[in-house]
Amino acid sequence: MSGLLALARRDIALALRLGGGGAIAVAFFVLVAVLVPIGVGAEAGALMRVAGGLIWIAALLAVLLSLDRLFQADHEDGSLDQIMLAPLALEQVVLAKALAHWLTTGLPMTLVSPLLGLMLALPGDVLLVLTLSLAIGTPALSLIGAVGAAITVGVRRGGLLLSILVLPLYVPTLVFGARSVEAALVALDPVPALALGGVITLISAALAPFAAAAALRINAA
Amino acid sequence: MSIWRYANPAEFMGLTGKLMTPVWVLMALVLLPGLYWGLMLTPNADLFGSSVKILFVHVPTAFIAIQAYLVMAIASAIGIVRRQPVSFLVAKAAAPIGAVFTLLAIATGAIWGQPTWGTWWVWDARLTAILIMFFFYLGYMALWAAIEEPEKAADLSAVLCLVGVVFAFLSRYAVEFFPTLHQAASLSVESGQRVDDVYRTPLYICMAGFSLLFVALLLVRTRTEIRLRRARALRLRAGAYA
Amino acid sequence: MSAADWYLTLTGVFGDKYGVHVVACYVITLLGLGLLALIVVSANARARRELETLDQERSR
Repeated sequence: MSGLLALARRDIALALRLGGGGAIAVAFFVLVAVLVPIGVGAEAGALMRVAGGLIWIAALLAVLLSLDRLFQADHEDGSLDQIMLAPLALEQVVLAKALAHWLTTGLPMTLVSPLLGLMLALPGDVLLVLTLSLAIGTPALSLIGAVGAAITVGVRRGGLLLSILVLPLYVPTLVFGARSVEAALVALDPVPALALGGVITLISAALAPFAAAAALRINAA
Repeated sequence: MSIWRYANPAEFMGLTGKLMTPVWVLMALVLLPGLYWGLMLTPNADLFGSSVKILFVHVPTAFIAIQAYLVMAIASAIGIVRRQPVSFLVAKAAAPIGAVFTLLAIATGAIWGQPTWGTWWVWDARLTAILIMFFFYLGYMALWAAIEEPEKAADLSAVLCLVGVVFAFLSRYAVEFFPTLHQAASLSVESGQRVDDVYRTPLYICMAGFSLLFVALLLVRTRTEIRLRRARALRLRAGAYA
Repeated sequence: MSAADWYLTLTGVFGDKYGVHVVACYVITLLGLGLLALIVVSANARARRELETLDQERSR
């Protein structure tokens, strides 16, 4: 466990030091959300209806942009090989990196989201659901993203390929996240959608480390 | 000797070489009469008129689009577990065929939907899942193309395919959340409606015929991949890439 | 016949207004799969020729 946490701490430190890798993702998130009323029009009724889905899409895109931080940088300077030689199991490595990634992208985005929801005319009680849905769903984005990043780590300029591979995998998380906000908006119970989002996250946490580790091993061979 | 002997490329080529002509012939014998029957010999439906005849191309293509995906997944799993190159190549071969079938299913569905229900497309569970599956096919093919070493490409694509299968299942049931909040009309003929008996037999014949077509194309494409791989190996040995 | 005439002929071919759609679906499917078959088979033939050439060079 300590090895896992140490690796996570290292990744967080790197993310913060390198000119805020996470901060850029959050900035992008906010920017896209700000573009929504500009694009959709500022009428509160229209904004409210699309806010949940669009905030979630902004979150997806922001996470996608930051995924190359997971393995690519370490792969390029050779430290990934060093990490793979360490006594820490590769699955734990993946978990540690995904955790660090979430702490520097998903978590800040979740914390900022109530503000964005306000901007997009979401009523107060819905803001809570929005924040909860992001809190539950963004870890899945980091975990699933880790699988895609591990698969494409050897591909030069693999960013676009990574997006194409990962976006279909993000669909369940997106659906449950956006739908929970929508449910709250029409005074339906958001808990089923939130719970199912949680299930997706748990399944990702169970499967992603193994899939990503397998991909890393294949790429290292 | 068990069935695994056909995992050997030479054995596979031998067996499939003998199977090719029979499969093509059988396909023609099944599919063409089936299509003719469905198109010409069935009556117009009460509700949808003659557009019900689109059933005979739309349902089989959609069915095979999904089957191709399962073939890819099973072949990928066998390839990983038993370390067999031919299995990976079967998966690789299935992808473009599955993608084309998916596209055709979407196109025929849209052409059917437009006059009968007034809309080319609707974001219900089934259609959205099919569309995502199409993009998944594209991503899978892109991954194969992006990685230079064949063994690495095979292994990574297999990992992607297996992860995709899990999420395909999850998506399929996630997307069903749409109707509960949107009351979207379900457009899938296969699910809701009873297919009258007079259409059922030609439909099954067409499904069998299209399945044979899929098998034929899959076999040819796999043979191509095996040949390409062997050609690459020969060129490497001759020092072309030295 | 002009395009409009073709459209009208096809529309009525099954006795109601859906004729064009039915024909379009069948044509698209058969053309699409035919094209796919053509590409698949010709790619296979090309691969076989290439392999034969390489095999010949090897045995020379």
